[in-house]
This record gives sequence, C-alpha cells and structure tokens, in this order.
Amino acid sequence: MLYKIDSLKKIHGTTTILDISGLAIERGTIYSLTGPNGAGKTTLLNLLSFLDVPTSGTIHFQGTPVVFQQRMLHQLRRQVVQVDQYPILFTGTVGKNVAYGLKIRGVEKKQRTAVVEEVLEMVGMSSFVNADALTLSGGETKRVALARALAIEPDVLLCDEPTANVDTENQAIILDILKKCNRDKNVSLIFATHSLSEAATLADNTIVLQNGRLSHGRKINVYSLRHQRDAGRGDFWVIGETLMYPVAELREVGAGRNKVYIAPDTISCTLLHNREEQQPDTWPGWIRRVECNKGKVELTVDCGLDLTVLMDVAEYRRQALNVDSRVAVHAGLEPSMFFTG
Amino acid sequence: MELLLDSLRQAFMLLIAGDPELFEIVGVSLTVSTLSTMIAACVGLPCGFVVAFKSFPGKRFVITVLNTLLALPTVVIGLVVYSFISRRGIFGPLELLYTQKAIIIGQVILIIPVITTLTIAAISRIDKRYRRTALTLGAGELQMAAVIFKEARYGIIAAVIAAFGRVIAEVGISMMLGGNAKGFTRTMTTAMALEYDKGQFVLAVALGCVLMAFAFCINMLFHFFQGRTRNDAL
Repeated sequence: MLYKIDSLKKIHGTTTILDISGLAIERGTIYSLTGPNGAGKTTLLNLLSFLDVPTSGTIHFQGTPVVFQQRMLHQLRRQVVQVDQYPILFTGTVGKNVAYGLKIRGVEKKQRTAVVEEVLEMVGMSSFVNADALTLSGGETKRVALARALAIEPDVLLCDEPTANVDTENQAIILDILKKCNRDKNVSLIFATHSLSEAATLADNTIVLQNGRLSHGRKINVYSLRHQRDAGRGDFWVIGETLMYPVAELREVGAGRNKVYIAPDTISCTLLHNREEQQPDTWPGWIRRVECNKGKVELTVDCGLDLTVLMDVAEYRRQALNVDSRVAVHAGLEPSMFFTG
Repeated sequence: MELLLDSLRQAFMLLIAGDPELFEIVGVSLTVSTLSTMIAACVGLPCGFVVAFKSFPGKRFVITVLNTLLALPTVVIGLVVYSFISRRGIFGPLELLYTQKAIIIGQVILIIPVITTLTIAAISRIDKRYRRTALTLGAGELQMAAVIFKEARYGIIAAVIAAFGRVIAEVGISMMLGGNAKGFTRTMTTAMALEYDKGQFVLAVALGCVLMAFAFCINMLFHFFQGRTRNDAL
C-alpha cells in the first residue's frame, strides 16, 4: 500500500476544501484524479506530496503514519515529487534545472551529467541542455519540469493537469513519458485531469472528487454511448440509452468509443415556458436539485437521465430557475468527450 | 555665487592634486561605511528571510516596527548608543566612544531595518512556486532559502546598496559617536560640517563633490539592479 488516508480534512477559514473519509492508493499503479473545478484535486495532490498540511485526519505513506513535522516531511519529499499545472523553472540553463534535485542530494557531477542527459533524452529535450530555461515555451517548460522530477527517480510522481494548456503534439509526448516512467521505472503515478478520455486511456484507477468529497457512485455526466442509424432521420448518438443526439460530423471521432463525458460547465440550460417550442438539438427536462457552491450553481436536470449542469449564479438568477422548473438543455459534443471505458 | 564658484575651482584643484587629507577622510568614510554595511547585511538578510518566510504571531507588528525604524533619526541612534558606550554606560569599560567601532555600531543599527525591510519586499515579489518546487524536489530549508536568494538576488543587492548609500551620507551618528577626530574618525560628512563651521569652504566643497559622485554611482547601481528585478518579472 502506497498511501492510506483516513478522515482527511482540509479547511480554509469556514470552507471545507477536502473531506475524504477513507482512500487507499496502491503502489506502482497509475491513478487519475478527476472532478470539476474546485473539487479539491490540487489540494489532495498538495497533501499527497507533503507540501501542505491537513487540518485533521491521517495519511499513512508506505505503511508509516505521516507526522507533519519538518524533519519527516523533508525525508518524505525526497521520495515524492509533484509537477505543478504551471511549473516554474529556476534561473539558469535547462541542464542545471534538471540536475537540481541530484545536486542537493550530493550526487557527483559526472553522474549528474549522465542522468541529465538520460532524462532529457526521455522527454525529447536533449538539444536544450544548455538553453536558458526561462526562454522555453509552455509545452517545453512542462517537459523539462517532468525531466527534473524524473531525474531524482522518485517513488511517486504527482502531476497536476500534465497536459493542460499544451498543444496536441506535446500532450501526446507528455502522456507517453508518464506511461513510460510507470512501466520502465515502476514509478507510482497520480495525475489530476479534466479529460476523462486521458484518465481512461492512461490510468489503471480513477479517483473522482466532487465538492471535496470522493464520489463513490457513478461518475458525473459519464454515460454509455451507442451509434444508431435511424431510417429516414439519419445518424444518432444514443446517450445513456435514452437521449438521441444527431451528430453526424463526429461519427469518426466516436467510432469504437463506448463512453461519453459531458463537462457540467459546457452544458447550457434555458427555462422553457409552456407555450414555447423546444429548439432543435436540445433536450427537455426538469430541475430536480439545486446546490450553490463557490459562486456556481450546480443543477441536476432530469431529462431521461440525470445531467449535472454547472452555471453562474448571475445566470441562474437571471432566468429565475428553481427546482421543478422545466428547462431545455443543450450540450455540444466535442471529440475530447468521447472515450473507451 | 562668487564664493561658491571660487570654492568649486579650488576644490577641483584639490581633487586633481590628490590632497592627502582629503583622501584620508574619504578612506575613513569608505572603511566605516563598508564594514557597517557588511555587518548589517549579515544580520538584516537572514532576518528578512525569516520574517518573509515564517508565520509567527505578531508578524505584522514586526513588519510595522521595521518600517517605522526606517525613519529613525541618526541623532536618536547616536544618543542611545552614546548612553551605552559612554564612560558611565554599561559598555563604558570597553572604551568604544569616539572610535570607528562606535560609528559602525550606530550605523549598523541605522541600516539593519533598511536591509531587512527591502529584503522582505524583494522576497515577497518572488513567485511562490519557486519555494514549492525546491521543496518538492527534496530541498531542505537552507537549500530552499538558497534558491529564493538566487531568484531574488537583484532585489537583495539593491537592498544592500541602498543601505550603503544611507550610511555614507549620514552625519549624526559619525559626529556624536566618532567625535570627528582627524585621521581617525573624521568622515566626509563630519569633515564638511567642521569646515563649514570654520568658514572654510574649499575642502567642504571638494568632499561634497566626492560624496555626490559616490551618491550618483550608488544610485546608478541601485537602479540597475532594481531594473533587473522588474525586467525579470516581465
């Protein structure tokens, strides 16, 4: 067992950011951490990387209870490394950045140079070894930050949104590196992501967070997907065996995929008045639950299946929505929403 | 006007001729100011790091006190230090009064708040991610501080330069604790005050020119490093 978490809480002021009753993370496996913005993904990563202290609760790391005191934290941090969503590189060359972790561990220069060469090769940045680290692009910075983390051969690698704000080419490279370091070096990997397809393709297990709590049940807005040809009406995606969705142009993207994830903040919800006709590409439904959370309103809309919709408070008030309001839901499908599960 | 121009001309001649008295005074000034800046930096920089990084009760109060101490008049420091090192003071037996050491003690007290507050400001401007990154890569507290020091180096150098500029131009402490003894504790500023009292302006003007030249160079350096900090932040 790598991590064992019991009754872990992180509270800022009066807001509970994270509240996990129990969680076990196995060694040598890849975990994805998913959930909407503000679900507590980064907070959990910070606690797992020992960069933050929980308000209450316990974390066992490799069987030992963690005491959040300087000396023990320093020892633990030498085994666990986190790569931020927006990593920062130190002033100096790329090579010096990558060698930093080794240098502070007292590794000899000759060996440092060899490791730096190896990891930079691994991330495809060998030619940048003498380049000024502050002149790199976002994707390059992420790759160098990853190389810097891998150079110290950690037991655990924690990545916060490893492919966010990175072009498609760099995304593939980064995902490949992560997979390789888990497979070849047996590094346990936990990464936070918004992309369910990324989570499904890379991770062995998925941890879903919602409002700081583990979501044990069904993942929000994840539905089975089926392609259906209806005589006379054209092609349809059948979502959750209930909703028919005519999306001809995404036929190739969805081919072979059997799941779809509809991000709650991409769904629009419009109040339907009795006399109004329903617009095409929308589903009628009723609001069954309303919850306000961190400046956003979370609605559960029953439109044959329960859809979670996230909207701004201002928009919610403008439309005067409420429980039992009849609404038209529109969700545009995008290639990134399809995955195989 | 004629007096000033005449004094300026003669002062210029004095500088060109390499007047030994003038250079002796400049030497004392530089020695005393450099030593006090170095000692104050040894105290002020770590203090700045601790205040900037650590959370402790009364942190805001400490910062407010440090900011208040920036406005401490030199004569007040002179008076307080005098009460400790005069014959009747508790450090009287050490016979520090009217020595360069006495001036250095006073000047160190004067500029520790300057270095500390400017160090706090320089570190506070540094991206918080540097600290997290160093820690997650396995750095200890001192190794992490070294990373921050490196990233904030221009701001910290600017803090030390500003402190040097403050001591080389001060007169109250040097006069009250040094006593303006010729060739021993006579600094540029105390010598200028004395020459003014005597009604002889030539040496005073010459020293004034040297002091202004120093002030100019110090300010150039200060703005150079401040500018580097801003450019780096872009």
